[in-house]
Amino acid sequence: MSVAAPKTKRKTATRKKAAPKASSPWLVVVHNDPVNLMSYVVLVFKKVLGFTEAKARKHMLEVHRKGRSVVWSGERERAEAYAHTLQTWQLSAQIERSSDGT
Amino acid sequence: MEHKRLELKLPAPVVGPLLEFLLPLARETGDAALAFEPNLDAIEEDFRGDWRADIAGHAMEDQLRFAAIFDTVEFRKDGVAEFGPEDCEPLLRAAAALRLKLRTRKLNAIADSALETGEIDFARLNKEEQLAVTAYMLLASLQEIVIRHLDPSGE
Repeated sequence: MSVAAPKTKRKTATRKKAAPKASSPWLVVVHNDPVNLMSYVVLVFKKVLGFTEAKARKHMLEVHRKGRSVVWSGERERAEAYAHTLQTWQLSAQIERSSDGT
Repeated sequence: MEHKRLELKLPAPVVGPLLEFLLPLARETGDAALAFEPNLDAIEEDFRGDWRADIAGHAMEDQLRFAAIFDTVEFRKDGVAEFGPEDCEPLLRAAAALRLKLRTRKLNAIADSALETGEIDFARLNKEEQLAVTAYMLLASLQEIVIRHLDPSGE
């Protein structure tokens, strides 16, 4: 599935390009919070990550039941962009280095 | 898809107290606009300050838009607020931010399960908590209306 480019309306802070690192991908992880509505989380996943309704609901339920869900993996800069945009939507998102390189 | 303008109507007597309660929260600036502390553990240290300030800036813009939409003569008088398609996403984000602020600052004595189910004994709450719960639920209803408007295919 193709993933939509993150949408940010403000100019994102600039940073120096990180030096190339090991090939293991970066993960975008969304953690559960007791406040945001399930329907809201589904909508955000669809808008920000380009998920289908079914995929968005699957990840939302994983967040709800397991406390976290990996919603994207890949190169660091895109992972940062997704995490940043999810945070602007008030979701508890962060990036992590994949431990198994998958 | 093109979306029409949306109209929200609330009973006029509840509008004033709710606005007086929510508008100061929505007009916070700087760090206070942040509804939660973003986890930046994996972000390079020299980039964290800019990142955090950017999240706070987005949150402030959204909440100020929220304040501008609802702090009107019409809404105070008749309980009617009208907004366009361009307001929907900022309103959703602002409502999420305000609910997070209410949860952490005003409703921390109430269990998550009670807030989720709405099974709350109002008589045991003080005046500020009663207003906070009402605002918390109103914001959820606003989000549900906007979500159905933006995404009628969602369940």
